[in-house]
Amino acid sequence: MSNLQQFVIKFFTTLGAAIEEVDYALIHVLIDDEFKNIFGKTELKLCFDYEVYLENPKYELVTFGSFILDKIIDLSIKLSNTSIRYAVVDNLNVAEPEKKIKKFLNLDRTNLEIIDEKKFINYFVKYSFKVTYASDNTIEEFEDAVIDMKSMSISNKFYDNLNSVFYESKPQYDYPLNSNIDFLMALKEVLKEIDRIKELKTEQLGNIAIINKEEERINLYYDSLKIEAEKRMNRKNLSEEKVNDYKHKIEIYNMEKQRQLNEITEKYKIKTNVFLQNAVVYAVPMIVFKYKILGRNNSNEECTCFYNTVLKDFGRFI
Amino acid sequence: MKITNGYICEIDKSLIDLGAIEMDEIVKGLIPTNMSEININIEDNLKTFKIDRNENIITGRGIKGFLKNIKNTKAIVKYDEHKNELLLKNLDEISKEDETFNMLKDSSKAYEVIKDLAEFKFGEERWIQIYELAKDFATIPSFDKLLSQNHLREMELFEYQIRTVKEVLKRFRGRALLCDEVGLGKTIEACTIMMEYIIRGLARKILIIVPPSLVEQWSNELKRKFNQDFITSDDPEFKKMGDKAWEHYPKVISSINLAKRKQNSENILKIHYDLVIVDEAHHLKNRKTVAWEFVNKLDKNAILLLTATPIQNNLEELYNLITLLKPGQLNTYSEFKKNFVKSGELMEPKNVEKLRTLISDVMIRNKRSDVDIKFTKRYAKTLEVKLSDIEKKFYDSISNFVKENYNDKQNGISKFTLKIMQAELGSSVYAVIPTLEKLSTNDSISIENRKNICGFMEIAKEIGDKRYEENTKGKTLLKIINDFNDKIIVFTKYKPTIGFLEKLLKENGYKIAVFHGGMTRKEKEVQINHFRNEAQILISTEAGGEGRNLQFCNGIINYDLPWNPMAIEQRIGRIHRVGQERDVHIFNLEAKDTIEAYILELLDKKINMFELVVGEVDMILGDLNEEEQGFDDLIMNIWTNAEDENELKNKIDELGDKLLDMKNQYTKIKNVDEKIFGNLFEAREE
Repeated sequence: MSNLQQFVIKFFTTLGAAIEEVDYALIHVLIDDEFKNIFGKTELKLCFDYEVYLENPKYELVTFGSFILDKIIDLSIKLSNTSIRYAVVDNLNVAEPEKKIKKFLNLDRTNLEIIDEKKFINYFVKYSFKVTYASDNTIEEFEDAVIDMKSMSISNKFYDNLNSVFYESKPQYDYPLNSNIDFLMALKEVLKEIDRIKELKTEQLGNIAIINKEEERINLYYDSLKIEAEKRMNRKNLSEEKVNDYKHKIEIYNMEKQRQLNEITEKYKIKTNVFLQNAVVYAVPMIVFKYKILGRNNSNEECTCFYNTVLKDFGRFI
Repeated sequence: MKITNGYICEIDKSLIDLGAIEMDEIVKGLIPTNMSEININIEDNLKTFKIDRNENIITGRGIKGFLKNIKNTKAIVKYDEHKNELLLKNLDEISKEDETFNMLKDSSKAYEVIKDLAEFKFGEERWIQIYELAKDFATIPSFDKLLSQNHLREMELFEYQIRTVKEVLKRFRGRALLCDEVGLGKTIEACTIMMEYIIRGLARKILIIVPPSLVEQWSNELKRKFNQDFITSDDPEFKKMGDKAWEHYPKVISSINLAKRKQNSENILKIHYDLVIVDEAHHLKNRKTVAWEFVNKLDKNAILLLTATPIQNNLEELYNLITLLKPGQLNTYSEFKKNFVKSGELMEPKNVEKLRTLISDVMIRNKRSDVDIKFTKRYAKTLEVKLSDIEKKFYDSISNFVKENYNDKQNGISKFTLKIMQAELGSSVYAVIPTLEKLSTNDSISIENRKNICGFMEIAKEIGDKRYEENTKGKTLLKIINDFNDKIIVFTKYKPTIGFLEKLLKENGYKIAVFHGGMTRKEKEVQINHFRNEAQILISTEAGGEGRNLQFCNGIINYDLPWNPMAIEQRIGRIHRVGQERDVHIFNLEAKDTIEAYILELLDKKINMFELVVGEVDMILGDLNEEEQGFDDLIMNIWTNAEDENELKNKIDELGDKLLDMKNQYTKIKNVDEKIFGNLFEAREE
């Protein structure tokens, strides 16, 4: 079964449709009345192989750009606004926390006393975007960024570990929430990150060095043609008609040069657009440690740090 | 808004008119079980309510009015145990007018997402998972990911082809000279580049310019392998529309000869093309020709020039091709000559490194020695079949009939039918019978001719009544199969011959599979699997089998011989392709003095086509086809026009010498290109 067929079946299953796999690359789908307007009917006969389609012309061929696939993709994006994932971790305790905190703080030779230890929930939110880069080619990229809502900073580490986060759709722990919930502000922060990615990509796609090289080629070529024509024009005993011919040629070279230079500029100019597609909140159990460093000028200053149970690492509050 | 040690709870107001709200799990867990009352604080307004643990509700007078201030179904909640106080706070409200949304395209969708988040109104997880899957089909990725690969039929791209496509798209921005060695699939590369543009919506108006002999081949390949419906400029529909057709049809294949004609070129040059492909682009080697001028003037975004031999006689030809792609890449011709051509030596480059650098900006040349494909050898063997007297009589009578009638326009039988009849005759008596039957009832044919045809049918019946084992070609076939003693494919062009072979081989105890174009996809799969697993022999027509994996077999028998050398190539190509681990054996059956024997003499003995590399036949015979007559027509004309056997042999010899010259010329050009380009232009990873 092709990837496309698997996807379409999963889509319709999610939509609550009844699916019958009729034969190789052929399926029947019965969808609910509420989606009739979208697909134009409630009974769909779909085919995923061109050769099979030729033998079964009453089926609709599902392929890139086909009506049905476009509708499915539109609906997939439309219906996926938000979700919350409650992280499940195998261990909610840190063994030998003093040792680990000392290591985290790079204070191996210092004594440290833990005064308090509390668990709480922090949110990490993954915002998903589609970014389009349009020049002579159009490229669309999916860009995701994860923000740590407690510190309101981009967490590349969490992003890198998204695939290893186990989660459930119901809350797993009854710890209180210690997190920012200003999702609009978070979006603003994430957009800065997306802008950074966008600029980097635009630079790569635009490639100034290539533009310069192309401009140099065009200038050199048409200037050389002009010089050659001028040389010929300045030869002795040319008829006026011939001289005018050369003048006309030179004019055309100038025009053509300008046209091609404009074309190159247009070709490499990149316009971008960013679309927010959806956002997924990860509720992550964290442990906050309150500790005192002993033997340092007998200071009684209390410090805190936290442990992220998903990433299995320590951090400091900003 | 920051929450410290708080929770998000649900405010379920469904019982509010009854003076109660339901406690959700969070609230229930926060208030100690021994409490019968709770103080609720909303924005510094405080009121005490009762708790009903049995009903799981908080109740009390005025609760409806008090909770009016909680705007959403969710709120922030904290519990102060000293005061037994439940602090409820509204979630942030999101303004649609916030400037952040203006930074995004489709701001209403962005607002919807953020609003849902802010209200803690989460959607179903499964849709996020669906979205993740849809991503693969929903965007136009960078050219690092080729989209067309999922849409190719009957084939897969090789690594070097993928590299080539990516390089042309990314580095060359769609302007390239594709000069792969013969047989490495320049057409496939060009079509894949085209598909990438089409799928991404970057190419709608496309013109493919090819030599006249390749128009049909391109049209068929595009349909079969890429599902692309191009109209050819010699299609009756296209012709009927006249000048407007060029503008009307978005995807056109035209011969260069037709396109460059003044009337057509005037119309074509008014059109903007997103992509132009020129096959056998060495025909544009001279910039003083109408063809070069025409292609140069085309208004186009991307252009691909395809040739295995960019230089044929001098370096100026390379200059001309590259100037078509990128004017000025090699500067003006006088500058190019001054900088890169040794004085007085048209073929000797100087400043070679600099020249190579410039050329490498527009040209890719993959070589067999560079690509990671194992090519095994081909061995061909022709076995003579001595026709029995009656078979010989049958062959000669019908051949004479064909010869007599071929150039006679008044006889009521078309040249096409006669050609078919001659070809069927070369296959088997069973192949020609249906045509004879049809002709025998055709009233527009003279009575005398119909009488002749009836006579042929009688002989056919006589041959048909004999036992299959007495069929001389059949006997030779059995011997080959027996000696080869391995899986083997028997090719024939005709279905009635399949029927005969099926019976003959079964009677001799062979397990066979059958494959032809009239079968459904499923039937074909069943037969191929049967051949792979059980049957020793596959009897097959050419139709529809290109994509099937048959490399587990390394022998083919041409029971009959297509007159078109490309069709022979395609048969061999079914097993002599990537994945074939063993050398390939090709067996031909040759009955003396038949048209097929002459074809074999030309193709096998003169140019050794069976041992050439895939694609080279086309290179050698390409110019022959330029004469707008296919190889099959050329042969048929000699066959039917020769006054006697001597003349026939002389004419065949003449054609043979011509083919040999062409082969030598091709070898010479190949060597020149090798000398100049060497190994330096293969597609590379970035």
